[in-house]
This record gives sequence, C-alpha cells and structure tokens, in this order.
Amino acid sequence: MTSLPAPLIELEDVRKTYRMGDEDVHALAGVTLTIGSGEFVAVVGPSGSGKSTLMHLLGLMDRPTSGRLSFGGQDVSRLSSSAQATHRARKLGFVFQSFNLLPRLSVMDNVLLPLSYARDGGKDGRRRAAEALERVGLSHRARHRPGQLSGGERQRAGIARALVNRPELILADEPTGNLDGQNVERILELFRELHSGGQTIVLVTHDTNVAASARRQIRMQNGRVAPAA
Amino acid sequence: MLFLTGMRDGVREILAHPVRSLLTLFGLICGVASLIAMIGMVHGMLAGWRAFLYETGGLEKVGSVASRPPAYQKHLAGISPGRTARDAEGIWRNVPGVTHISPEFAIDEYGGTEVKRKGRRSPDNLVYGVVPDVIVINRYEMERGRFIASLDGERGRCVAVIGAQVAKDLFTPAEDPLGQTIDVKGQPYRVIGVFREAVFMQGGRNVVASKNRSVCLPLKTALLRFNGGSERLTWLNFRVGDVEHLDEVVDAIQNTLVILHRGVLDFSLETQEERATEYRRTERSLKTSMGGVSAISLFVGGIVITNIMLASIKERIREIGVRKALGARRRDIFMQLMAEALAIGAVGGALGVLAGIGLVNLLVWLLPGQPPPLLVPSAIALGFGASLLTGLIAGAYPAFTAARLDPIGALQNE
Ligand SMILES: Nc1ncnc2c1ncn2[C@@H]1O[C@H](COP(=O)(O)OP(=O)(O)O)[C@@H](O)[C@H]1O
Ligand SMILES: [Mg+2]
Repeated sequence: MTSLPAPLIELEDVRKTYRMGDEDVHALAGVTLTIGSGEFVAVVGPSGSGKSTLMHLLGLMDRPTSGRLSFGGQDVSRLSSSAQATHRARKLGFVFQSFNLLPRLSVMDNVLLPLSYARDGGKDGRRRAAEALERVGLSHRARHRPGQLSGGERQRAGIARALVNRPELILADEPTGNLDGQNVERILELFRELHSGGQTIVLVTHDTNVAASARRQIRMQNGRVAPAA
Repeated sequence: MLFLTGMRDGVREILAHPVRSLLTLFGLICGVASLIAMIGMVHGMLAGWRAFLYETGGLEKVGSVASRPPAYQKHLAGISPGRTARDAEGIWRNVPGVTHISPEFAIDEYGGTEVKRKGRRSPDNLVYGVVPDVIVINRYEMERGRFIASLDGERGRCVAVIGAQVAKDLFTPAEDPLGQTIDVKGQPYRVIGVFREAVFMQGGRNVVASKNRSVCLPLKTALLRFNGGSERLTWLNFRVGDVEHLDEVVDAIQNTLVILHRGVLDFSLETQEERATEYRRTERSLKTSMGGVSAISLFVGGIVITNIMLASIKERIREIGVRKALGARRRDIFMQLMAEALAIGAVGGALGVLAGIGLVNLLVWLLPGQPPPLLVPSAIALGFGASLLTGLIAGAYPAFTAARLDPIGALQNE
C-alpha cells in the first residue's frame, strides 16, 4: 500500500436532495471523495446517513442534484438514461442484499443477463458465465433455479452475475445482510479474493466485521463523509 | 437476440400460469376462430352460389319469356307473331353480342310430362325441343352418347337425349339406354345420349335436380309433332359473349324483339343479375356481421391482454428493476415486453387457428347440405396476423409503463 492507485471514481461536492412535501431532505449534503482503481472500500454509517443514496449515484441509477461525478476521468453524472444503462451493463457489477436473482431463470441464465445488455458482441458469453460460476464455486448449480439454492449459494450466484462482464467496479449494498455467520465469511473471502485480483469493490455494511475486511472505510454521517477516526 | 429471449420469457410466462393464460387468450382465440369461420362460410357460400349460378346458365344467360302486353296494347296483341324461331334468326343477325341462341319448345309448358318404357314410368319431366346451342346455354354435360345435332332437326328425326334421373327411372343399372326406345305421349323416340347428373346441394336438397329430369328432342321434330307445326316457342334464351356489356346487349335484344313483334310488348327479358345482386348483398351483410364479431372479440381480447400484462408487470416490478440495474435500457425492457406480447399473440393465434379449423369442421357437420364452409388458407394467415397485431397493440401500453419504471423504486418494490 505504498503507491497511490489511479483514481477510478471522483466525487466533487456531490449533493442529492429529495423534496418531501414542503421539506428538502439532504440525502447527500456535499460529498467529496476519490476511490482508486483496485481499492476495496467499505461504506459504513448509521441508517439514514446516505449510504444507499451514494451507492445509487455510483451505480448511475440516479443523478446528483448538484456536483460532479466522474468515472475513469469522464463526467458521467449528466449521461442520458440509455448511456447510463450501457455504462452499468459494461462497467459495473451489482450485488444486492436480497440477491435479486430472477426466479424463473436458471442460475446460468441469471449470470448471462448482464452480457445480453452489454451488447458488446461477446460471443463467448456462456464460457464467461461458466468461468464466473466456477470462480464462486457454483459450477454444479448452473442449471438449477435460484429457488433450489441456499441463501449463501444465491449470493454467490449474485456475485458471479456481477463478475461476468469483468466490471471495473463492483457495488454491493449490504451483501451479507441476509446471511448467517458461515456464509458471511465465505462471501467476504470471495470479495477479498477478487480484491487481491485487482478488482475495485465498494460495499455498504452495518457489520463491523465485514467492514474490517475492507482496506478502507468511508464513514457516512448525515449525508456527509465523516472525518477518519 | 434480446428479442428472442424476450419471446422465450413470454412463452415461459404463459406456461407458468396456464389457466390465467388461457383466460387471457380466450378473447383472442374467439376472435381468430370466428374470423376463420366467417371467411370460411362466406367462401363456402360464394362457391355454392357460383356453382348454382353456373349450373343455371351463369350471368351470361338472358331469357325471353312470354308476358302479357300492357293494357294500352291489348287490342294489338293479335298482330304480334309471338316468340318464334324467327326471333332467334333476327337476334342472330342483328345482335353481335349474342354468341348462342336457344329457341325452346316445351311440349307441356305448365306441367311435367310422363315418359314411359316397357311398363316403367318417369313422371314430371321437362320434355322440350331444342337446338344444339342449348347444351351450352343450359350447361348440360354428356355422360354417354351424343347430343342432338342440327341434322336431327332438319330430318325430323325422332331421337331423344335424357337426363340422369329419367335414365334411372326407365332403365335398370345393368341396361344401356343408348339405342333403346322410349315412349313420349305415345310416340317412340330413340335414346341417343344421356346427360351427366347435375348435383348442387343446398339446405339438404339438390336444387338443380330438375335438370336431371330433362328430355331433349330436336326442336323441329317437337314443333311438328306436338305443336301442330306452329313455330311458337316456349322460351328463347341467349348467351351473351361478354358479361361486361350485358346491359347493352340486353338493350339490343329488346329493340330487335320489339321490331320483330311489331311493337307489341308481349315478352320480357330476364337476366340472373338480380340473383347475383342478392348474393352480393348477403355476402356483404355476412362479412360485416361476422367481421364485427371477430373485431369485437379481438378488441376485448386485446383489452384483457393489456390488463393481465399490467397485472403481471406489477408482480414483476422488482425483476424489471433488477434488469435495469444490470444494464437494460428503456427500449430493452420495452422490447422484452413487446416480445412477450407477441408471444401471447402467437400462442393465441395458433390456438385460435386450431379452434377455427375445429369450428369450420363443426359447421360442416352441423349444417349438412348447406354449402359447406371452406378452410381458406388466407383466412388462417389473416387470423394469425390479426392475433399477432392485437398482441402487439395490447402490449404496447404495459410495455411502455414498464420501460419507464424508475430502477431504484422498482428494486425496492416488495
Ligand atoms: N426517494 C427518496 N425520497 C425521499 N427521501 C429519500 C429517498 N431516498 C432516500 N431518502 C432519504 O435520504 C436519506 C438517506 O437515505 P439512504 O441513502 O437510504 O440511507 P442509508 O442507506 O444510509 O440508510 C434518508 O433520510 C432517507 O429517508
Ligand atoms: Mg440503505
């Protein structure tokens, strides 16, 4: 950890304000931060502090009310919704707290989904999906439906799906929130493995153990980044 | 590729809820089936009408029949020679649009004639003197032997060509009528030909059965032996070469006949136009009523699809959120749901085609003797296409709604 990594994401005074009736809710009240390529970052903080809002902005699922958000040096906060979607398909991988596998598709087809939306002409989609499943140790479950899998297996399938398009950034909002101790450990192990392979990861968590496995912690408080403790 | 997976997902969606899908598709199936049955019925009837019109001489047949002269000509009636073979001659020379002329003399104008042979009887026949043209105008077809030739008349030969029913009445199946002698009102006639049986079933009966009760004699022979040598005809029929110019030719015939009858209107001309017009009217009303039923079924079917798709999308909001998070653009979601709608339309259309084929066969079975409904390939294509189109139109609004969902909200949906 001596050399400074090249910045992948830069936020400059990013604000997100929701209007609730007559009141403005400042979900993000001016966030400035940089996340380097290859970093493994845990976002922590109390409920309502703006962690999910931050993740939505990083995931280009939403636009900041003001401020600048750049990804790989490019300002992505004003992209059209279709360009944002393509960005998500090609450069991002999402891991959800409740897995969000599509119940009627096989594990394999779930993992294939991001590739079909990436439209980058990858012919070897099945091979890449098989590789991703192999990495999370689920090759033998490829033909199963998500309903036939345990919670831990489902989250591993979710991670395989997030990996399949070789994203520049993996975003995980409470990925271990629905898992028990042993499975939490297994998932964290996976994230650490990915990180050591150079993968940039940002995950949100309540769990101090989980946060501890990340190399860096960003503490959110009232829509701001709290100074490092 | 995405569209194909969309279609596949659509079919999966249909199979995942078979009962709901069947309800969804019910309107569509009814619409397609009734469309196919309607077109089948109209085509069946048209084929029937065409056959009937054909059997009875077609549109190109124009008849001249006796009619009472109008009151102001009553005192003149005597000066008209009436319809004679000379009328035929005059028309032939003066009206080039006429290709065939058939002067006919029925030996019993107002009733059937009994024909006998060796104790066997054939009642209620039309026995009439004819010239060779009649075979074209009245569309007789020969089963055996030959038809009457001009020479038969010129020589006053006692020969006859008989209809299929007459032959059945007078001869056993083992006997050959040709060369045999039959008895027409005490006079012997030698059978030289037998007509092919004319069959056109409608309402359970052969409406052209009377054609099979024809006995044709040479015109001159008949006039000489049954009309006391008078040339007065019973009917005078013409065949018009070009139906496009029917009205003009009918006018020309009318004018010529008025001159030949010395101005006395003791005849009238009849065409099959009226019957054809009536056919066309029936065809139109059938098409509008049955077409209306199909259109309403498809419309209702479309509304049901819209509703069920909206409901199914409500259940799948989270799925749509996930797809968006994974990179689906609005148009990807739209296309996926349109593919689903197309799959619904295709499945509904296919089931509707099957139901339509069943319905056509059911109608054939339910209405024996009616001109049978036909299975028209273009109707099947039209029905299937209408179903696809209904699916697409019905799916457009739900697909649009789904495409516009906000991904964050959709992901948080329980
Ligand atoms: N769509 C929204 N409309 C209104 N307020 C919102 C919306 N999303 C988040 N908020 C508010 O913004 C603040 C931050 O929320 P969130 O980012 O979800 O926090 P966390 O994930 O840290 O619990 C909260 O006060 C929340 O109520
Ligand atoms: Mg949250």
